[in-house]
Amino acid sequence: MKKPLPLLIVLLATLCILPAFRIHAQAKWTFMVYLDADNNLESFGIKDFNEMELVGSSVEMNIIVQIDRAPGYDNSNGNWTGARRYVVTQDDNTGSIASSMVDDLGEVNMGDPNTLTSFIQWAASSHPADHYALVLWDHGGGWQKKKATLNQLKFAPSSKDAPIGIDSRGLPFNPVISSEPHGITGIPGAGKFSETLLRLQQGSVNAANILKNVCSDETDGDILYNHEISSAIANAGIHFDVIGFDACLMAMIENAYPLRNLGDYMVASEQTVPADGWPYDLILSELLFDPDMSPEDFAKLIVQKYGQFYVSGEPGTHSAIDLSLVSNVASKLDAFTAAITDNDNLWSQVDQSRSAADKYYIPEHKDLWHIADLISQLSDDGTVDATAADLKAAISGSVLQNFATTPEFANSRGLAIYFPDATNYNAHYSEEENGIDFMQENQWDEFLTAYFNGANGGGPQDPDIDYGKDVYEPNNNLALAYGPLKNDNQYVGYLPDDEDFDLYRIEIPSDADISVDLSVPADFDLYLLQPDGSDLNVLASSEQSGNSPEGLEGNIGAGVYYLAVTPFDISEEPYVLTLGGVAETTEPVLYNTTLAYDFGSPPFYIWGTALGDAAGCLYKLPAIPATLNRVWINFQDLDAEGLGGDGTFYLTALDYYGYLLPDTVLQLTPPDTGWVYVDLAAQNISLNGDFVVAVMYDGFNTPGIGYDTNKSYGNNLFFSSDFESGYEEDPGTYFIRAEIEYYASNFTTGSTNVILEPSSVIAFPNPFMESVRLEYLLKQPGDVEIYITDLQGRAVSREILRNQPAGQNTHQLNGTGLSPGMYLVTLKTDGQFIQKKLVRH
Amino acid sequence: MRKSFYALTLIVLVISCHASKKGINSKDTITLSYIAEKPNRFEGKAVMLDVNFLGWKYAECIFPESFCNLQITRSDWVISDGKWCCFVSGSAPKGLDPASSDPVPVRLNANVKMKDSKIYLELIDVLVKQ
Repeated sequence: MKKPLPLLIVLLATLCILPAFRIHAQAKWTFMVYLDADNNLESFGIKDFNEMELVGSSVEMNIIVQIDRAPGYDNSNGNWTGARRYVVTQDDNTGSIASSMVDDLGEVNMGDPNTLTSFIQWAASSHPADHYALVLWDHGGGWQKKKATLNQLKFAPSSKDAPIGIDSRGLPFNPVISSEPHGITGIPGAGKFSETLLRLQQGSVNAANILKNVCSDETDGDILYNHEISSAIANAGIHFDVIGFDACLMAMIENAYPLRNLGDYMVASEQTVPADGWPYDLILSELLFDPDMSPEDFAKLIVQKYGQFYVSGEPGTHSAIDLSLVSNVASKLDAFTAAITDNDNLWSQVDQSRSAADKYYIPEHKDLWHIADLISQLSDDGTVDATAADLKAAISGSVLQNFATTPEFANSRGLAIYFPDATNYNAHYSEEENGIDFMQENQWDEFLTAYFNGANGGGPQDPDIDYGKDVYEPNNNLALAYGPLKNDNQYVGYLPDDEDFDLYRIEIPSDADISVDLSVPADFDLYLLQPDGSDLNVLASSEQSGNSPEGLEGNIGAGVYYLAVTPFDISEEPYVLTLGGVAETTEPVLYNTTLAYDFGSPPFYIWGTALGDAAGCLYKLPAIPATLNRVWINFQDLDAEGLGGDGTFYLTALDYYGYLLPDTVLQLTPPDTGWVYVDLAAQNISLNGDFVVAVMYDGFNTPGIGYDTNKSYGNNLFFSSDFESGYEEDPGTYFIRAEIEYYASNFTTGSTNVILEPSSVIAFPNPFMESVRLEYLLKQPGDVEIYITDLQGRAVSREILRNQPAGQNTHQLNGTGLSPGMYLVTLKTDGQFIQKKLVRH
Repeated sequence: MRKSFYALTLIVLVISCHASKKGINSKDTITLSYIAEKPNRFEGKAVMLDVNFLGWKYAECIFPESFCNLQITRSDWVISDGKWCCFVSGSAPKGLDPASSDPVPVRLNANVKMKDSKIYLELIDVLVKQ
């Protein structure tokens, strides 16, 4: 009678622990989630974990999670910050993690491929199953251009309007300027002109090497790059039925191709993923009830549930891709691009198609099916059309399920590709050491090179390109031409970008024999230009090949001239421009320059809702003493009289803070179209930095005047009887330009001598009550003198900050002793000064 | 005569509008703080902000109450004006890696939008200033 008792105990104990054993027994599915919440997405990671807990693991479905958290973003659930492994169990609490932790790993680097390998091996060995799914949860990133990237791009030939006799290479701008005042047309990127203005003091941009990636670990500063994903999975030795990316921007052929032998199906998104990510409860509940679901059906199910959940949410995409068919897509793509290259006359069609194709958060990511479709529509080449059809069919065959919201992604078919324009190309894309086998085994990167160079020598012309930009110096338009140059000074500049060119101004007081020498690191060219009314003529040019120095010499008469340095090839190395034979100009030298446009995306919009309010633009100018001489305006399609007004407008100029500049309220009755100007020279309006030009309507019959943000360029002025409800009446457009006169002696713009970066000077808060913090960027160490004056120029305070380090600096100004009003704060270092206005409340 | 009267009236009105903060909006109207004070006034309008780009690293950030703390997509990034932070929905500045970037001064043009009764910024364009 004693022996049955132990047997009973054993039997009961076995029954009690059986459920636990059943979870660990061979299941139908093991669903692994590599949940990298060691970053700003921490709270969303916890939220998704709780969604999984709403379903929980079962006998036939293991939900295994490795979650890494971050300090500082989400304090819930004990606020631990390391990595833990869980077998997810069911509970209905959506706020806290209730599953039992299996292992506390401490801090791990989720961006390390070895960490991913370890997780997969552990999950598979401890929770074996018939089918495996792996989800990489986190941010997903894409390629972006490394700004300092070099490539071998060529300039487009000059346009048909180029002057006769100019070398076929032409200039990077059309030197024939229209009769419009000072040439809005004729300057490449005129539509982006205000952006150029915003780059007045712009230096180089962060040169980080930005590559395709997923799983950013903020604590460890690491991330999984493309080749690391595939190597981690390969090293784990597990073949996955489904590999999913609950991350942005991962449904790309470059991402799918390396996984083609490591999994059967991939689920990912061409576009960004909403912060909430996958609806895990919806997805896993289906698998819970049907664990016999095939991998193909499960991959499709994920997309279906994602689509159902987000169909009315943010625009987005998701797709399930058969990885076994990705090689076929790649080979069809090779055939397609080979046909285009062989044709050699379709580059403009390629360009148009690239621009028009569905694009995503990183606009260089394009839908591959749409690319093929657009090119075939524009092509009359039978081979190109046939290979495009093959490619489209291959994509459609490999994408088993696709979700894309309309109209944003109406032509997205589930697989994107990196298709940048030449300007935004990240040259690291095709580097072998990045280990992206798609590029190594296929011809896409070779096709990109052909496209960039333009098989006809024309190169791509892309409306998305900002042709007005100048990465290194702001002197590639007449208004910002550096100068006047002095005798025998060496001017150092850079042409690292194919769209970059530099303009210099020279002033010849009387007939002179001048010489211009240009030493170059690459094939740069030199032009001497002379303004002729509204035109700009090329007097002479030097266009040697290769690294041969360029030079010009000869006798020219008194006047103002410009020198243009343009790249035929590009280089990150500097050139040196030297001028000889020009008599010293008398300082200070005034020179007229048309500087301020709002043609392009205006940098700032102002609006009003009351009688007398104005709409206009803020012009960002360097803090250099100047005068405002003229304001031009061009009305288009405005009919104020139709709204009961008398058609009279008032043009006004205001300072940065909205205060009227003295004597600048000017009445005008502009024509329906065309430019008119108001001459302000007599008013002697002083500027010292940013200012506003605005238009007021008499307003007695039309109380609203505003700005329409729906148009892509131009200042769109509206008169409306109901401003607040949306500017619906009488939309029209006006363009404003301001003609400014600078004092050359104080002009400090230049690529090599700017120590105090003007755009870096920030005063905050401003207006201020008691103190204001100054931020400024020093390019080299030195003393900084800070003094405050009132508007009459009387000194209020002065400090000298000794031995300030290079880099970002801050200084707190105590304003408690100041009376309410406006002041000027001046930062001065090594002869350069920057002024900012301060308002004391 | 009428024109002169109008002009004089306008001058007075503009000055008074400015003084009462109702007229022409100016620099002080486009700080995050000002938007945070009157978010509804800015809804549907475009603003320009001189701020620092923080990318995805903003553990020390303070977001205004019921404003700016709405993250639409996982790729949304954060700006700071030194006091407040705010999410921006749209492509990160070209050449900057939101995952690893140190704070970078940028000039941001954005539309002020509302979702779920919360205001957020939708990118128009952004300029890297350094």
